[in-house]
Amino acid sequence: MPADPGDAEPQESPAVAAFLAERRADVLRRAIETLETCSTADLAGEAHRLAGTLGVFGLDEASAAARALMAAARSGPSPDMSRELAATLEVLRGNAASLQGRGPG
Amino acid sequence: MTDTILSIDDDQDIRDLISLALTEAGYRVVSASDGPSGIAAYHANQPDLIVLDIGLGAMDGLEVCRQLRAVGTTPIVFVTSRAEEVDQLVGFAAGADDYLTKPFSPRLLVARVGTVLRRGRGAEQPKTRFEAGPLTVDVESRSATVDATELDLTRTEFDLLVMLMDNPRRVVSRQALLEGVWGSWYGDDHVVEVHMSRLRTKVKAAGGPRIGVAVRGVGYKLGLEPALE
Repeated sequence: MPADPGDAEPQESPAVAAFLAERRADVLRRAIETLETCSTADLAGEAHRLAGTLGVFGLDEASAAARALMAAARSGPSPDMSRELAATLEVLRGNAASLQGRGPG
Repeated sequence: MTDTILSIDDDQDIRDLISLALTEAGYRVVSASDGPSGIAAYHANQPDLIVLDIGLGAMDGLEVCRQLRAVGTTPIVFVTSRAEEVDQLVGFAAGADDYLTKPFSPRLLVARVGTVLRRGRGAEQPKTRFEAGPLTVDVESRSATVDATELDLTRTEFDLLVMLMDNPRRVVSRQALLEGVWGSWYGDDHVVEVHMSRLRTKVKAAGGPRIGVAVRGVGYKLGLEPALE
């Protein structure tokens, strides 16, 4: 079971903290869509971008998974890349389900 | 007057977050989602600082940075997922003033933006006039006076005096004086004492106080209280 995302809230202002909490579900949904639809050639670049964005929104586990996917995808299609893609999607979906269970904030 | 920040990032979530964090910190924020619209927004808004993503697509942030550097000196802070040292070096080579890697916290971004803005202002307006006790130095006219008496200083003596006046409450090391006045010096650092001694003598002869007080093993201090600004 994935760790509950977004628990380690940095000491941001209330407005920024609320924004981060509100957007997490959307950020995860878009990340899942991106990884499900992007081409193999774009996978490393997209995973790289997502690693940064997910981390900024406090989704550390998802960010780490995206970073591992980026590393695996850098050298092109391989069984390792496919495994990492599946693992990353599992983490993202798990995070999304966890957030949905908690409700906003 | 409120500073304007231009944020150029192709990620809507990051753009919105940067905009919120900087607006909350009191800045006016203008956003753009790609290189060409970012450059257009720069010309339309003349921002005080630019927060620029590197991975922007067809025209990446490095190219945007180069184009902006060709037309101005507005500070640029890169915000990017590229965390390798070589990426940062490339960013600085392209003209960045600071570099923040994703993931970053909005608080850190706000702090960096504030620091770069302050640094830029300091660089824009170097101090050109110094006063301490009866001594006055005007860098632009390269004149130094003790009360109304003009000092006849060599270039080296004048530059030494400026360095002391610019750091009135600090001991300025010999090394700092060598680098600041001579640029590079590979010989004996007693050259500093020789010129400092001549400077002291000229100030004294004009009726001034003893300046350039030696601090053993370290360097020199002005030895006068600066005038209040």
